[in-house]
Amino acid sequence: MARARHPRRWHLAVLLVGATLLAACGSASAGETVRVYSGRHYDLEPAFQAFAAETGISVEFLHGGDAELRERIVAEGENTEADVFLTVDAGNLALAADSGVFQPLDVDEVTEVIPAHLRHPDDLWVGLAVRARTIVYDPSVVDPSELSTYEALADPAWHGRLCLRRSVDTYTQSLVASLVAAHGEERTREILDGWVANARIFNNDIAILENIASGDCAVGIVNHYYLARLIAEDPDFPVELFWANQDGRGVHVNLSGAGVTRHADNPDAARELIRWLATEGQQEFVGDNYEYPANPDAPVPELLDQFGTFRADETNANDLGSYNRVAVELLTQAGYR
Amino acid sequence: MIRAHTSVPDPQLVLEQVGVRYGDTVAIDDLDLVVNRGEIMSIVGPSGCGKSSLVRVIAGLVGPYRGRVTIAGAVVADERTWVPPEKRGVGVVFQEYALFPHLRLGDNVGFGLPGGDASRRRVAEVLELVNLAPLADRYPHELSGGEQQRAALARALAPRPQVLLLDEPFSNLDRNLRDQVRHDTVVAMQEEGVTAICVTHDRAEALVVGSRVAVMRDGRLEQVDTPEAVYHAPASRFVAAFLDDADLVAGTAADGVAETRFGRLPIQPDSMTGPVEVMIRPHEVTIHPDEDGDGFVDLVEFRGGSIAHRVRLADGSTVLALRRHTDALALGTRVRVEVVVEHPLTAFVRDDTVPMPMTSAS
Amino acid sequence: MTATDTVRATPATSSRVRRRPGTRHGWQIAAGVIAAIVVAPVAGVASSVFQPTREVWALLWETQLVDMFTATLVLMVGVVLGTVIVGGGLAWLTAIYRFPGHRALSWLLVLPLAVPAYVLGFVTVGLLDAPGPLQQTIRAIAGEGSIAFDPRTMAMAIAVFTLALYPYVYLLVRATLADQSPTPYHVARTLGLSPAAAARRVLLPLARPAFAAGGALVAMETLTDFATVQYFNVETVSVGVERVWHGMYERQAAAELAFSVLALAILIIAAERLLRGRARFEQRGRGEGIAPIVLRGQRGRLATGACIAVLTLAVVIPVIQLVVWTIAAAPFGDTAGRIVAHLTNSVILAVIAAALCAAGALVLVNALRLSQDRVTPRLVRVANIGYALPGPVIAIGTLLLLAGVDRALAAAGIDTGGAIVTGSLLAVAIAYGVRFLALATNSLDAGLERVSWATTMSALTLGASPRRVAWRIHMPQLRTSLGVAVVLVAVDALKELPIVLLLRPFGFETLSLWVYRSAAESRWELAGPPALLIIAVAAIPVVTVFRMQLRQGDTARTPSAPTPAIFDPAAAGTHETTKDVR
Repeated sequence: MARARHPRRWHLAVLLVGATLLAACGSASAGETVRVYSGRHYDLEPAFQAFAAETGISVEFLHGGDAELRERIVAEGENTEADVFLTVDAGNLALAADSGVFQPLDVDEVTEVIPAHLRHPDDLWVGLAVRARTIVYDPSVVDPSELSTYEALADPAWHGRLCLRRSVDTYTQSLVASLVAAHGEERTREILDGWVANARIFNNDIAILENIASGDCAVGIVNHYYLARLIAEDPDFPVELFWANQDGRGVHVNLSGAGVTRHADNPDAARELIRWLATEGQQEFVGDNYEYPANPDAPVPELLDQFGTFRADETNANDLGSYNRVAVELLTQAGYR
Repeated sequence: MIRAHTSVPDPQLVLEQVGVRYGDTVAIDDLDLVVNRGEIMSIVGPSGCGKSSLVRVIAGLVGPYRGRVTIAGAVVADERTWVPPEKRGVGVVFQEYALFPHLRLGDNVGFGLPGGDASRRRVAEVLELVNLAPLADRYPHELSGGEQQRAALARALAPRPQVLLLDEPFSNLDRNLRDQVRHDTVVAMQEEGVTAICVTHDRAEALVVGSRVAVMRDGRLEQVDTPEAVYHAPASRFVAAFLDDADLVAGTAADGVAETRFGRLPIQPDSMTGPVEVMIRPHEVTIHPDEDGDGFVDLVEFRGGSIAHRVRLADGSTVLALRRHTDALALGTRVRVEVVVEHPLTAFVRDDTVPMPMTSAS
Repeated sequence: MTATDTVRATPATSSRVRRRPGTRHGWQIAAGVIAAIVVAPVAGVASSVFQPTREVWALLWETQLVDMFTATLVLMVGVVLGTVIVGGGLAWLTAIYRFPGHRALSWLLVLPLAVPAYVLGFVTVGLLDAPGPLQQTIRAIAGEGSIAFDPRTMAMAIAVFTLALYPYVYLLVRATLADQSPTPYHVARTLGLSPAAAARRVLLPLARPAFAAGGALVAMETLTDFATVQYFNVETVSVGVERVWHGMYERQAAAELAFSVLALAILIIAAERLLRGRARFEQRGRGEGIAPIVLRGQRGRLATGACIAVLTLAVVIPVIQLVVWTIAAAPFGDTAGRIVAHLTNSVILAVIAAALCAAGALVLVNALRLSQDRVTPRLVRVANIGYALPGPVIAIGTLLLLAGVDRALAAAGIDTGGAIVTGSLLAVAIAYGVRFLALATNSLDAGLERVSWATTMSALTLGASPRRVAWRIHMPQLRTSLGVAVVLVAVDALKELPIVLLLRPFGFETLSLWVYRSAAESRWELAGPPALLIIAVAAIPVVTVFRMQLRQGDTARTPSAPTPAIFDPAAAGTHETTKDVR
């Protein structure tokens, strides 16, 4: 019966799809669970598993782009399933706070242990890990005495030797925002013009580091943990780190941070998770990624010892975030790719 | 020649003042047509005359912008009504047959039937009718052209349509196959007693198939009548010239007779007086070799049993004559032209402003 | 029972009043509903376009807007030319000539369809970058400083897109060439042209619509890509959308920019139409096609080499690199378990997307065929708009729409707890439907064009309801096209990133997300296993369907009678094909 075959097969397919959709609808489970929307890329599972083991509260998380997740929480409004919004970069945190994503954290223990410049002024979010965006160089062609500040890399002496990351990336934008905060728009514009004249642009920090290692770049600006990661794989990795602007405002740091969402279904568990991440959980949270803990009492990953200590730019992260838009405009005007 | 019984007026399909247009192009213009029950009507006309649009408007594949179509007493299309094709009870045999390639012959034929024992019997019956019963399990691509044509006919006949429409049904067949298939088709339709419209551009085919013939031109019907009538008594110069070779001879009419260069010829209608043109078919023209004749043969065309001779007369006009193939004349032969008539010839009012649409020697 | 029992009912009486003859309201409404579903999410984002964010535009205008559009156009033109040359050339080679390995290569050449462009992108940069194996090897041999080459260029981006996207052109052109009636070719031969010259001068122009269709498809894919271009520092409008949205936090301005992508897409469609011209080139093959030209010796080896070279660049090398990374990532630990979960989710999504799009497309093409009115073709065109929009825009549009639905339901007292947005795959399913419907519609539309108008009308006049005609007559003859539609959508869904990234429910991870996450961290070795899996999984349907199709195309071609002009729907002026909207 050749005629009947196809329609029947089709009904089957439709049923399958329907069943799958229904199954997916019903998958949301009850119980003591805290749900996290995370814009942070790095492997969060070990930290969340440790949290679950210690507290009995399980963690479900959804990883995605920062801007998209923020839009999603705003759009979902009261219906959001997110209890915690965890994201990278001061700009994202600041904007999330401005968009009304968070409710006040209000956990004394957190306020006590995390320095004020890594927290939102109104306690809407808290920084949990710090990454420094600093200068790296090829020791075979650059003497550290030639290096000083980000600003100095705009000098024509670095023409063709500087390697930078794309302007679409948050890290670049945030660094430029710190320049705006320190110098204002005009001076920043000059610095950017110098950079653009000197630099080749890469789309990730690993590529910058590898190009320095291969001798194709002399100097670059990267997040410290990318170098740490490469050193962890190969202790002889031929690139050195230089802490920028130590004689001035300090090296530019950015952070990963989190807050409790305004419409969290489970705000208590959410607070407990953030509290834990800011205290006992610091090591697990920064561990694999070689970040610096936001909590000064927490142990710094061993491998970072070789980088020594540094002075950090203490511009409040939230202020930094508010300069992000100007930074993008300046980058755009400078023709920075 | 196959003839159906003479139909008594019993309208099965009625078109009243029907107009069809595509955008600004008028395909059918103010057309009236009545087809009686059990009648096979040929629609013939040159390409672009609107005959295919006629099929489409009857079948419901396009809507008329004016007028009314009635099938078996039910209005299927007017300004407010459009009954879709599947609810009209109209069968169509398309030029390319359009058999369903994924269905066996039997399933093709049974497609329009509700299923069940009665339907199975009906399928067997129509397959028998078109002599395809042994091939019921074949797929369309396993059938020859002639078989495909008959299959399409069987499929259209199976649900006993109120009206059967055939759109150039034989034009995809080889010529030597065509006559047989045509004969079989007409027989099958007559056995079924179906009311049918057969659209064709082939005038000979139209005359053979139809119990009546409608000649169409520029979206209008020029004449609807029996094959004999349209052939011998065409209503217009166009009909005269379209159905077969014809020459028009100038003359002056009085009392049912026209005075022409070929002598006095009986004409109809016999009420005509004054300047006329008389239609002469080639078989009515006899030519005799004659040194003193006023014409000469300037074209000879072999037509099987007969030979067409075109004779150029002294004034430059031509007339076509048929001779038996054994009596062919050489090019250039001087001839005398004689018109032998057994019945009155059709005459038209002479109008010098309308050029004669001649179709000599096709 | 006597035969007269089967006499069917007399024609319906005039009770069925219809204003417009030919309009099938049911089908028209169905097409309208689909179009509405497609437009709804897009419209949410589009509404802002009418209050443009002037300052952002002013800034863009002063700075990058011109560069962005220039880059987009250069990339698009380059990729279209590249795919036309590579895809068309290979189609030409495999359709007209026979050479060693011809049979296998014919379908193997479709394989790059299974390799996501972004994977090919980061693999290429990794391999060709200064620290990469190629340059390092050369330096090791020729000494330091012997070579310094930056692969992050427009030219490389064009090359990568060309290698990833040429199968679209290849498939369409090859199908057309293999399907041509041999008559014009034979006429050209009798006029004294050599086989190759006759094929070039007669067959190639006939394939122009296929080139135009394939080129438009490729242009659309290039235009809406936002991941691959970034590996090459190519600043297209789609990247600009991301910059404005993520960096300037201007969603409205980003949406406006996204709609300029749509405007470009409309231009492409117009260009395709122009290219295809008014003529309908298809000359339905009357069977055998042209006799292939056999290439022997050196020339045969050259042809084989050309095909293998393309495959090597587009598939073999990236796969080898991914395998190397995968081995480097060993031991995998819990990777195996995760792979199963990710793979299952990816396949579920691909199946849902393919089923939805195929079902929607079936309704659309049948509506187009069965309802002879002026509105339906427009609805179909609108329903295909999603393919011209960047994924993130569709994602955010769907999000806004469904959040609105949730709120409306909550306001009506129905507490969904946000389930519609976040608890289910519905959002992803809708967004995928919006995004990929055009792929399916296109394929099925081409398939239905092969079912003659008279066939449809025969079935109708035999009393079959339009729905029965769609199921019993159209559907069986659409099997191949349906297979192609399902595969194209499923494979694209498997590779898709921005939509699933934003709209998926909690805990729902797919292979493409895994690749994305690893690539975002520059952890290429972690991206190896999921990327390989995507390629492997996508390759299965691609190979199965196209191998079968290409084989069929080469051997048994079912002859189909030409449609007489008078029944050509285009001649009636009431039917417009949808081919130009994708």
